[in-house]
Amino acid sequence: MSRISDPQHMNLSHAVYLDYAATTPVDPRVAQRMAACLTLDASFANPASDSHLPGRAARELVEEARLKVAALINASPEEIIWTSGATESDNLAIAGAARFHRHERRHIVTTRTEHKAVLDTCRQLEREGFDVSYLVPDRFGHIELRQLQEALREDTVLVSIMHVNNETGVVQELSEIGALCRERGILFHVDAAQSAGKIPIDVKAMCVDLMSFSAHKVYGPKGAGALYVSRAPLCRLSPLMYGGGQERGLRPGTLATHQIVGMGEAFRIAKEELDQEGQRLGRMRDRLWCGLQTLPGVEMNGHPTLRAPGILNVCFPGVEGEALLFALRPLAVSSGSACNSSSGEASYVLRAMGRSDQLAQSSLRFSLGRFTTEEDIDYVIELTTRQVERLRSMAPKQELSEDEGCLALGG
Amino acid sequence: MRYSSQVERYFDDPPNAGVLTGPAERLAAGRAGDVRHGAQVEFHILVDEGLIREARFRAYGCPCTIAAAARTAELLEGLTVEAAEEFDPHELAAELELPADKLTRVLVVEDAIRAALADWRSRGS
Repeated sequence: MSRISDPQHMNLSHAVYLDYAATTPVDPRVAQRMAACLTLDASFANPASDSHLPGRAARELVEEARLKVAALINASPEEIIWTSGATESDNLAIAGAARFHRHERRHIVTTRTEHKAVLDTCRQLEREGFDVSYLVPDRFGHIELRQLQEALREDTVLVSIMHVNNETGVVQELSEIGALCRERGILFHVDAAQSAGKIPIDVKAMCVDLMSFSAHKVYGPKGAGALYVSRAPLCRLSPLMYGGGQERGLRPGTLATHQIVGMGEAFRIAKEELDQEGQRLGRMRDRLWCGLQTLPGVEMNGHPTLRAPGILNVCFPGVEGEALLFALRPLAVSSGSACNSSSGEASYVLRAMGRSDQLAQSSLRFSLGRFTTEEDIDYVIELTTRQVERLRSMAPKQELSEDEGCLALGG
Repeated sequence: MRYSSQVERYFDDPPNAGVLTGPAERLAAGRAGDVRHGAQVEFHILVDEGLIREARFRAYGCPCTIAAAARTAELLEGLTVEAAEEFDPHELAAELELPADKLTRVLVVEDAIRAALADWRSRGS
């Protein structure tokens, strides 16, 4: 089993990791390439130091990584801007595009189920005087093209819709949205943090102008990301930061060679293994769902067909979410997005899909990845089934059975 | 979220979970809380000559709620009804090392005990 050590639970010295949507471990092949960019005997020099050989060597590694990231999404390397992660990419794309065009257009369209990096950027733009329309998905987490058509205005500058939802794995079909935006001269941004390397992406065919990526969701390092910025048609942005003019002036700052090289290698491996790994994860996801369905009343949160292979979000009615998470502590799973899990609130993504607070709170996200095995899945099924049954049997019955009917239960 | 070892123990292997069967005139039960608000606790007691001979609980809620209900059911056994009236939620919270923001859960436990004892008294025994 792919177990990780957990120093906090000495009695549970290992946990089955099923939180790949939160982050992934760095692939050893990636770590090896990164280590070769750090020390004196390696490519540590500043990639902007064009005047000497070590600097040019580092630059070559950075450009090689840029090619690899571009190759995964059918972009040109000069359309890739390095950032610190998908959050920064989302900020740069949305705020950058909106502010650049602020004198002509002041309306943005996004959805209720976006990542906080998109939603909070939109909130900030509202404070700056922009209008934002938030599309509400159907109960499967899907946005219809018609909804978008109805929301677009003469002064819409940008549409931002995520490719794969981080909590439910629901996939939005981008091509028709992209075509609509392109036809209307509206910029189209996509948060692809959860889809890159998991399902095929073609930014040209999908008519995407801006796309955000993160390295650490794809077995690369944390702290590295990229933004695809279309050159044809030319997509123009205002930068968020000012400095030495790196990355076409859109994202100044000394390039982190080791992070970038790690991201490049991670994306190269992802492209190479995408088809096979997608099928493998899909099979394991189906096995998990099939196994959990022996529990009465469980429901999948998400779309029956439009979904990414590695994410399964399940609602377990009749068990309290915090108790379920604690009962399943031999597993590393989450009740939604790691970015919101400290708040203790029910998932706003599931709420937007029409789930009640209580059902949303009784939901768990299992996210599978490169090091998940069938043995892990079978263990998860066995443990989850046992614990849900245990917690349900311990709960007060909402309707008393005959032999308890004599007891007057108040409250 | 971190839980104390006591909460962990009572949550994982709660004594006294379930309900009671027996002669109806010796049984009483009470429930408090609301599943929609995240916690519901129910106690069943078997009383004989003023003494709580057996106690069982059922609970829906966070680990602290379940542990608090389990520990309480265990404590109730062998107490007189009068002694059970003296239940102190703060003492239980201290024993289980519950965080301050979980104190409301112990109050649900307290309300459930009071409901069970009131049910017993209403039977006029």
